This record gives sequence, structure tokens and C-alpha cells, in this order.
Amino acid sequence: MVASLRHPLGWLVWIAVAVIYAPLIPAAPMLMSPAFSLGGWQALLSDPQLPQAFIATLVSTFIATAGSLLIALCVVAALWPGDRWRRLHTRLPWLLAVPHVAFATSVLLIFAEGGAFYQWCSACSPLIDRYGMGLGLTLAVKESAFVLWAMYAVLPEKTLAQQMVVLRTLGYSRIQGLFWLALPAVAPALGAVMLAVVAWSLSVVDVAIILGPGNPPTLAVLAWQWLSQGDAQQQTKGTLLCLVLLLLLALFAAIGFIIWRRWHRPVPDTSGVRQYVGAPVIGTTLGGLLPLSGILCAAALILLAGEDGFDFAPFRASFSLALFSGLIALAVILLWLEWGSSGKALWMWLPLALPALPLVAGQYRIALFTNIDGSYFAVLWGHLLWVLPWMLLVLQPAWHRLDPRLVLIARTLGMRRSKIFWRIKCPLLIRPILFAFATGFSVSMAQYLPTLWLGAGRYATLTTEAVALSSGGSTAILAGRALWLLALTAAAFGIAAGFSRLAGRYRQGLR
Amino acid sequence: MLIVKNLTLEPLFRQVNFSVNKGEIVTLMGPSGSGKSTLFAWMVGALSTDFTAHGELWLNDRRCDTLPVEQRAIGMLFQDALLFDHFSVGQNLLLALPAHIKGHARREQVEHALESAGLGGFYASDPATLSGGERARVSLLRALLAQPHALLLDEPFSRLDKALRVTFREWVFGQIRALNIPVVLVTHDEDDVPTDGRVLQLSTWQ
Repeated sequence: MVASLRHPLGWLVWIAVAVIYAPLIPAAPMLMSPAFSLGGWQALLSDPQLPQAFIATLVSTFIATAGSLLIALCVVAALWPGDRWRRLHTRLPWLLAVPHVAFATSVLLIFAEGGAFYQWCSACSPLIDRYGMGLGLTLAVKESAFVLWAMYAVLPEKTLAQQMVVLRTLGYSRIQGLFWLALPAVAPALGAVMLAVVAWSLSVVDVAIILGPGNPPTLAVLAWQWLSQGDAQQQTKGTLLCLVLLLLLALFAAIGFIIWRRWHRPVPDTSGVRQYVGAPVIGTTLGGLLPLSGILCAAALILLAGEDGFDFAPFRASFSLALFSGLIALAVILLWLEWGSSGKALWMWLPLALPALPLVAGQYRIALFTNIDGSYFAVLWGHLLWVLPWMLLVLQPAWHRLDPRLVLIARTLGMRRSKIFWRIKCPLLIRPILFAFATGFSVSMAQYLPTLWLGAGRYATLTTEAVALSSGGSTAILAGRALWLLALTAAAFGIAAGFSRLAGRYRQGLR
Repeated sequence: MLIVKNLTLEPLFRQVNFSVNKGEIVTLMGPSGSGKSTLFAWMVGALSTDFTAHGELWLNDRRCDTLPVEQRAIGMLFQDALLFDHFSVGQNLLLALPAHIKGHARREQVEHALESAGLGGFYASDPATLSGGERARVSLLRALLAQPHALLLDEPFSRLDKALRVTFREWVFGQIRALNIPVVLVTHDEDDVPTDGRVLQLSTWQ
């Protein structure tokens, strides 16, 4: 940190990052202050909604986490290594680019009571889902794309793929190869990814409102309802519930860690038994269906959207917030990587690993204190806390892969640091930069809680509108909002992919 | 006997036909980039879908080109040793032994194989601490302990330095002749061809 502060830009970027990450600080004491009040816990535990909400949260989070991991592992076992694995990677954005709320809306409109599926198949009747199983399954499908995407980034192609061939020439199956070679290589990264999935599934509010059980809802929705009400006792209950969510996250992480340690012995099974498992039909099918589900979601929304489903105000709000937060975060990240970063800075990933609720509560506290709540600037600032780490996740590996010899050569040519940054590093990274921007854009589009709280309800975006309409209202308008949400996000990814392809066409060395 | 029948591997080879008898080592010669490794990838069952292949592969009267990698019983040795770095040397070799060898016999066989290769005492070693020549020897032992019905050698000597190459080569040829299985070796180096072994030029199929 000391070294980075020698440069004026180092100061600037540290201040920018501090402003964005400031809510982490009030979030901690705010969470802890009611933790020791016995009355608060009594009020929380005696709430009649709690037991079922607790079960629904556990069930939906477990299905989402275990399901996404299972789907991803089946696909990896079937397709990695090889061309089909690479092809899946190019098609995964079809599902990745679909915002959660749009995906959930299409599931709601098809499979909920009175949905398109039951109109088509009148003999089928919807199951009563009090425990959030539909929510869990939807999240499992959506998150599996994210898990696969992350695994693609960390699974080394060359050596490990050849070792896999060697293992298979010894007679072992793909599944045995997956557990002995691929999983140990990706375990640390996969652990972090699954932690993010658990944290997200535990604390998701927008998708849970759309798809989750209604009364009582999941814990996260309950906490949000209590926290957004003025009553002091309910505030305390909401804060305590946030604490419970954090404890649940720790519990899930601990269980996952124990299972991994128990089951993964450092010594492989050397009895020489070759399991023959046959052709990997399930994994191959899932690998084909996952990208397709993104297309199906879009198709369903197009079919269901009414003609007058377009309203300019939420469209404009969503678009401008996403555009500006993406651009600001991009500038901050690039400056941070060049002048600010020192060491690993693990705290930068906290917004991805922690439940969103307490962080938004921290943001709201600061916004009230500085009297900026309800302003456009506050909402933009609120989005940045999630936009920035997600974009960093995309950009940082590419930045570190830059060949240091190129920088050395540029220096021997007499270039200054700022010139190297601007003329060498940034242009070399054009493709990751484009993709990071699209990611940031979509993350901002998907923000629900910060938009609602910091904007004091004044800034209706496509996401907040879709969530509001999902509890009753015109199917056509709901589908229309979700469709525009999807279209904007997909357009951002499409434009990024187009420019990236253009850059790759003229300069094939740019990766 | 290993037979490649009427293989067309677009866009590299046409009408590839050759057979290798038990105990024979056939050398395929060709410059780098001539598709040697691609041919091996097809034979072992790991061909990239960038290529389309038509043709038959027979091993001891069993058609193999329709089987997945793990059922072909064809062993392979790459340029790199490709030891599984998170297992010990002994575990790498135990993994290769067939399951019908059980209990103490497993460890004994592995220890015996290591001693025959001049690697006695390396059972518990971390593969990363081995020299290049030692790694190469472990890698061949691993391929042989699986009792393959045929063996493919993809320039296995090219990464070793000159002094080591001669002794390692002789040791490899000695080991595989004792197994009495068909062996195919690809190389671009004349020195690698075993004495009075058959040599096929890849260019005749291009």
C-alpha cells in the first residue's frame, strides 16, 4: 500500500475504492450490536413465520448448491477435455447473459399455477411448493452455468488433458479421471465459487420474491421485509436474521469443507479397479441443454410479452445505471491494477462471498448519514459495490497473464509507466476489458436491493419493476419488462463479443 | 497384431495401411508438424473433432476404433513423462496395475519394477523431485505395468539430453521386447530407430 501511494493516481484510486467499499465498515458493528440482546432473539425465535422460512431457506439453498455442483460435475466428466468442452464454453454465455430475474420470470410464467405449461397440459396440476424447491431448482440450473464458466477458467487444458488421456489408456473411466485429476486441480477455486453460490442463494431476495414460497417467504425476504420497516423491534429482528444468514453461510462452508476432507483422501484408490461407466449420456445432454435453456427463456418471454409492454422510464434508468457503473468500475479497476493493488487484497472479494442484505443495510446507513439517500448518485454508488468485484474477477487474471517481458521491452524503448499503461497494457487487454464491461453492465442491471433502498423507491428499473409485477399483475407487462431486461444484458454481451471478434480478426494475437 | 486398415484422416493422411506384429517395433518417420501425434491420437481414441477419420483399427482380432480410450488396452508414452504429480511414484505405478493383482502382490510388483529400472527406494518419492531421466523411466514403467496389448511411443526420447538418450533408448527397447506386444514409435530422429526395425515414412500417405 505504501508503495502505491507514492504516485498521485495511487492516492486517487485508493480513495475511490475506499468510497465504494465503505459500507463494509458500518455493516459489521450494525450486525453485531443487537446480537447480545436477549429480547431481540426471543422476539425473533417466537415469530411464527420463522420455522417454515428457515426450512424453505435450507431446502432451496441446498438444492441450488448441490444441484449446480452436480450438474457442473456431470458436464465436466462428460465433455472435458476436448473440443466439445471448448464449444460449451462459447455457448454458455447464452445462459450466463440471462439476468436472474428474467430467468426466474420466465420460469414463473411457464410453471407457476396458471402458467403456460398448465394451460397447454390441462391434465397436469402444479405441485404445492412450500419449501422453495422450485426456487432451488431454478437457481441450480442458472448457477451451474456460472460454476462451469469458472471451472473452464481454472482447468488447465494442456498437461492435465494429456494426463487424462494417459489415465484413460490405463483403463480408467472419465469419472475416475474427474475425481483423481480434475477435481484436485480445481479444488481451491471451486471451493471459492461454491461459497459464492451458497452466499448468493442464501441471501437472494429478488428471485425468491418471484419464485419462492409466499407466506412465509424465505429468511432473506423476511429479513428484508423487517429491515425495510420503520419499527425498531422489527429492525432488530431483521438484523438478527442477517446474522443468522451469515451463520448459515458459515455452516454450509464448514459442511462442504468437512465433506471434501473426509471424502477426498490424498492417497488415491490404488486397488486398480477400473469402473466402466458407459457413454456419458447425462453429462452430454446437460451440456447441450444448459445453453439452450437461455434461448428457451428468451423465446418464452417473447411469446408472452404484450405489445404495449415497453415503458421508457425503467428502461432508461436501468440502462444509464448499468452504463455509468460499468464505465466507472472499469476505470477504477484498471487504475487499481496498475497503481493501487498491493498483494492479494482479499477484502475486495467480500461482496461476492457475503450475503448482500447486511451490506445493503450498511450502504443505507451511510446514505442516511451523508444525506444522499434517494439520489441517483446514491444508487450508482450502491451498484458499484457489486459491479466492481465482478468485473475485477474477469479482468484480474488477464492482467496478471500479461507477459512482463513486453513491459520490460517497452521500458528499454524509453516509455514511461503511464504511456506503457495506456499504449501497451490497455490495448493488449481489449478483449477481457470488453467482456468485463459487459459483465459489470449485467451485474448492475440485476441489482434489486440497492436500487430499491438507496433510491428510496424513486428509481424504478426493469429489475425492480419485474419483481414488483411478479406478485400479481399483467402477464404481458411482466414478460415485457423481463424481456427488455434480458435484451439489454444480452445486447451488452453481444456488442462486447462483436467488438472482441473484430479485434481478434485484425490482431490474432489478442486473447 | 496391430492393424491400421484404410485410414483416411482428413486433411492429413489418406489410405494409411500398416500392421505391426507381436514383439515388433515399427518406426514412423516424419518431420515435426507432419501429423504424427494426430495419428496417435486417433489410434488411442482421443482425436480432436477438428479432424474426421475413416478407417479401422484392429488389435489382436478385436476392432478398436469404435471403443472408448479406456477399453482399447493401448498404452501410450508422450514426450513429457506426465506423471500424476499429486501422487507418489509408487501410487503412480499402483494405479497402472490391473485390479486382479491384489493385496501385498501389488506393492511387491511395483517395488520389483522400480528396482529393475534402477529406481529402488523411490517408492515413496514425490515425482517432482525426480530428474528428467528418472521421470521418463517411471513413465514407461507405468505404461508397461498396465499390461497393454499394444504400445505407442510419441517421441519419448526427444526431451532427454544426448548422453541419457542412448542408454534410456536401449533400456526401453529391452523392456518392451520382453513383453512381446506390437509397438509403434514416431520420431523425426534417425538415431531413435531400433536396429533392424522396420521404418515407414509418413510422407507416403500424404
